[in-house]
Amino acid sequence: MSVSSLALAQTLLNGALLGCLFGSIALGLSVKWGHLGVADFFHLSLTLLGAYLTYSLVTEQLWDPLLTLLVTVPVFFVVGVAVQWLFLVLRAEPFTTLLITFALFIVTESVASMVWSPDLLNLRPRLSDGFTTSLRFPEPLPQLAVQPVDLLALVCAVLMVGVSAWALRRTRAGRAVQAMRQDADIARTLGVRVVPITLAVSGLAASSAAVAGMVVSLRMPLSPTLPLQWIGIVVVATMLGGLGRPLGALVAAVVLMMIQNAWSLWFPPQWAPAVTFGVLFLFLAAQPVRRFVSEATASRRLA
Amino acid sequence: MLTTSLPRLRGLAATACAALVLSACGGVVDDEGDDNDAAADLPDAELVAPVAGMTCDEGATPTGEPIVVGGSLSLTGPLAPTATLHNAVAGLVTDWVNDCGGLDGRPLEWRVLDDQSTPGTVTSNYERLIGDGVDFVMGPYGGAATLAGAGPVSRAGYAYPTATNGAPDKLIGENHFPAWQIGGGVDDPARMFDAQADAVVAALESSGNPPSTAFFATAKFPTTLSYRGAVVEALEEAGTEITGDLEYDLGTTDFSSIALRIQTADPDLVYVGGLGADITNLYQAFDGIGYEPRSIYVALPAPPAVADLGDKAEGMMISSIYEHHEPLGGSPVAQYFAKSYSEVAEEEGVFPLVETQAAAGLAAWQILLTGILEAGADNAAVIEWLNANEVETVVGTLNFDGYNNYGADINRVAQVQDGTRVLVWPEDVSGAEIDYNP
Amino acid sequence: MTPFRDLSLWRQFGAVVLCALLAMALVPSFGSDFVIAFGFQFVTWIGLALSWSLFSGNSGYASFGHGVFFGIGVYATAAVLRHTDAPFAVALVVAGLVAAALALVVGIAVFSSPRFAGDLFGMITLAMAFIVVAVVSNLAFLDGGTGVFVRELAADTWIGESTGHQFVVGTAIAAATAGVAIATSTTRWGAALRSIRDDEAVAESLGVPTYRYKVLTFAASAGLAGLAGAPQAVFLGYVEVGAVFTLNIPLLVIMMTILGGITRWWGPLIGAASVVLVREALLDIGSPELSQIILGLALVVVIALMPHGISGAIPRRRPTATGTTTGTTTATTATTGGAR
Repeated sequence: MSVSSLALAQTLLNGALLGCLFGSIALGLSVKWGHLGVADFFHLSLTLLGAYLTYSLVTEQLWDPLLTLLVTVPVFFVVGVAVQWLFLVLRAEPFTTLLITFALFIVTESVASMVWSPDLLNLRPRLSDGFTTSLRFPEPLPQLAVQPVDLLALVCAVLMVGVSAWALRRTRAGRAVQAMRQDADIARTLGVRVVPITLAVSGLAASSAAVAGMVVSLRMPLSPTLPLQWIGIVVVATMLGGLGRPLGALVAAVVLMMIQNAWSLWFPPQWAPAVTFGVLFLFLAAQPVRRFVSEATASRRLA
Repeated sequence: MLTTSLPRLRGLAATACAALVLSACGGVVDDEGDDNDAAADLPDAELVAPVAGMTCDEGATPTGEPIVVGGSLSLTGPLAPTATLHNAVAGLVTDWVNDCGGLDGRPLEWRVLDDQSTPGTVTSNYERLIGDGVDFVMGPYGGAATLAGAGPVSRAGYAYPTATNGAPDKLIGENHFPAWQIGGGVDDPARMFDAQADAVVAALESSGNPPSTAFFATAKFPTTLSYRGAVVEALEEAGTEITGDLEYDLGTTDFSSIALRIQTADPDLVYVGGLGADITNLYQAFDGIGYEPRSIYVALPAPPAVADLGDKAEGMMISSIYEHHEPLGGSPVAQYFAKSYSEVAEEEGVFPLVETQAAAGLAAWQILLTGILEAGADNAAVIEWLNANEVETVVGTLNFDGYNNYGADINRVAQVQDGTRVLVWPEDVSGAEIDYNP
Repeated sequence: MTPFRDLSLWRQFGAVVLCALLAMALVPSFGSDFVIAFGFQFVTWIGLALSWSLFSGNSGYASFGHGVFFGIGVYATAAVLRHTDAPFAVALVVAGLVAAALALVVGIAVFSSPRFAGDLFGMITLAMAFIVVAVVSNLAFLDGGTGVFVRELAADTWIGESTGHQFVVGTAIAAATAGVAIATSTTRWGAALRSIRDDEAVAESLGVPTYRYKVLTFAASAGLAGLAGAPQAVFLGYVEVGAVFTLNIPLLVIMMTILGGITRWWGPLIGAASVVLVREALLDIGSPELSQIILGLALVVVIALMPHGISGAIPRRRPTATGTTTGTTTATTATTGGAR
């Protein structure tokens, strides 16, 4: 391989792996938005909280980052259930839930600033070399390198998104969730227990934020306003992938990040966001997505 | 691409997981000697008066009407990390003055309003403070905020001291008293950043091995872009070849493409016009491809971002006006400030060592306090006095004679040597010689 | 429906004009500098919330692009003042037209295909925001990254003379926006938009020209936001991309509108006013983080108690007067809740 094609392969690889992280964040958003009708901006805040909790447990209790999941995942499950329970009690409409999740988004940013200070916190220097030394690809591509943290992001994304996609399509509960999305009343008469399933889905989505948050804390320096940097890519990936389709969101995030990196390799990087989202427009205008989107709109029309 | 490399990736993933699990107990380095403890080495310091010409009457309780100083700071939102630092300095200085018996016997009071990192709110905050009758104001943090506040402050005839105003080529007025004199010693208003650029080039040349090639990567941010423009010109004039010059979006997290471009060019000097955590993310990208830059200069990095790099930051050069060492750091004022700042900063959760931002914060207060001491608690008198005199501050002797009230040239260059930041240029304030051999 | 013979419509117009005139006369002459500066921001937020609701509140298409139209107004004004000798009035018109033109282009493209209905529209507006930011920060003609100094450019003009003059312009724009909002609340135009929100397919089958209505209203909403940006450029004195295009603006505008409620035209007005006033009142309670937390929790409590927003919680005095439009609106919003 020539130097430039190697560089391209490397940057595409990095983009794809970072896309996996954004895809894992988009997972919870996509499921809640698509199946529960909640455009949950608080999900981004939960991811940030997960990252900060991981940071604290690692630096103060000296836990292994992976072990922190034993605490954060169940705690976040409860939080997710509680928030959804609030929506159920309020019989909240989409606009109302949007406002509440925005409000919680603001509250979380301030809480993070109060508890962990507005300054940058970086977990990386505290990690052992096993986390930070990049791994070389085996022959025949020894020039390509990958960071263990990015591999962890890949594993988490593939596991979480894979399990969700499989569960939604193949399991009884998953099909019940699909049915609820079509029509909650009919689902109920067919014996689907809507309330427990709704609460559980919200709890699981929040748990996924705990996992994504752990990866975030290993991957980048933390600050309370970090979620504002993700909103663009995460929300666009969620919608582009089709609401309620975690796999679509993951693929979209990966593709968007790969486009961004490929552009930045040869052209002025400051135009990368415009190009990435511009390509998005072209892509939307193209035919292949039509099926995706028309399916989505058709199913909503049926409601 | 995904399908062909899947088996290989799966293998890699499995090894990585195994490695992570194996290292489960040792996944974290118990690094007690980290930045938090760096401040513990600071010697105890005596309470002294914060400004020249003031006597410290320890134990005397200030009486009478307080002198209220008001300011707007971005305590929430994206600018919060640095603005919180300036708020900590303000609180510290207030306590300091009051511990010394007050300003001419009167207590000093600090009143801050949060502008949530929105320039529009800065304007109304200063109107509100002035309307509420504060005696003096302190400038906000950030160029856009400083200019948004300049309107009401100048109209009301208040003195406007600023710590690190990064938008210097527009006139605020004779009431503007900048601690960081970015345009110091420059006559032509269009060339306000030349002083900074000259300092960079002079520092590099003092090593005897100036770079023959340089690569620029600059964040889309007013101050960093202006710096970059001046430094590119100055380096080219000095005979350095610019092999790359690119800009990136503010808030970029994945620098892998930029790192690859730098690796391909492999320049003598990498100039990063970055701020905040850019340097952390860039080094992560360097790590990923196994590249080590031959030398690196960073414009405005967040102090914890540099500290967190550890050994990798060795030799890194940084724009600066102050690092805590002799001769500037040797004064009793600097010693006391460093000690008490480390305590306050730890409480606030911000970086505990004094560098450019905290020092500029103190200097801005020293300018204001000196003016009040010499001319009395009256803005017009303070403005007149400051324009006619020099002020001793922690960053050096300042005057306000030039365009936009920039007087002395205090643009300096710091380098990380043996894990600490030390000024290496110019010689009269440097603590060590530059160690530069790309 | 004969809106122009509707007395209550004219009465509401009259009230808005009267309030605006009173504010324009009293605030700059009797208010302190703080009241004027705060008042300017107050009317700007009101204008933004009302203009967002004009399209998004009525049609149900949530746009994340309102901050962009506002920012385009700011930058168009800065560009006109910087590159020409034209007076501020020209800059104002240009600001409105440029913002409206962008929305028109985006609207014509996006609404032409039913596949962009609903949530995808939100994504398009968000993506549009990132593209516009990149363009503004990279074109030296507009900004180029180092920011634009407007204060000196406007120093010798009427608008740059005092904050009071900026307040007068801002209030006039907010009042004009309120006028348009009132018109939408009672005319066929507004009813058509709300029928789109309730069920676009049904509206189309009933012969509502949804495409034309959506495109034109989106452009009008954007144009009004662009107008609001013009005095803002002068007020700030120095504009930079990071501060002008912050995502906080569209998020806050959406929040204000939902809080105020979208079932009455003045809902967004109340929402914007409450948020701005509460924010200012919380400014000096000692802890900036705590004040943000209180604001956030207060929003949750208010919306929990008043699910249709503040305006939706106030009972209507004359439920039948304009029953053909407003009556159906409340009924249908109540039922559409679970359908999305």
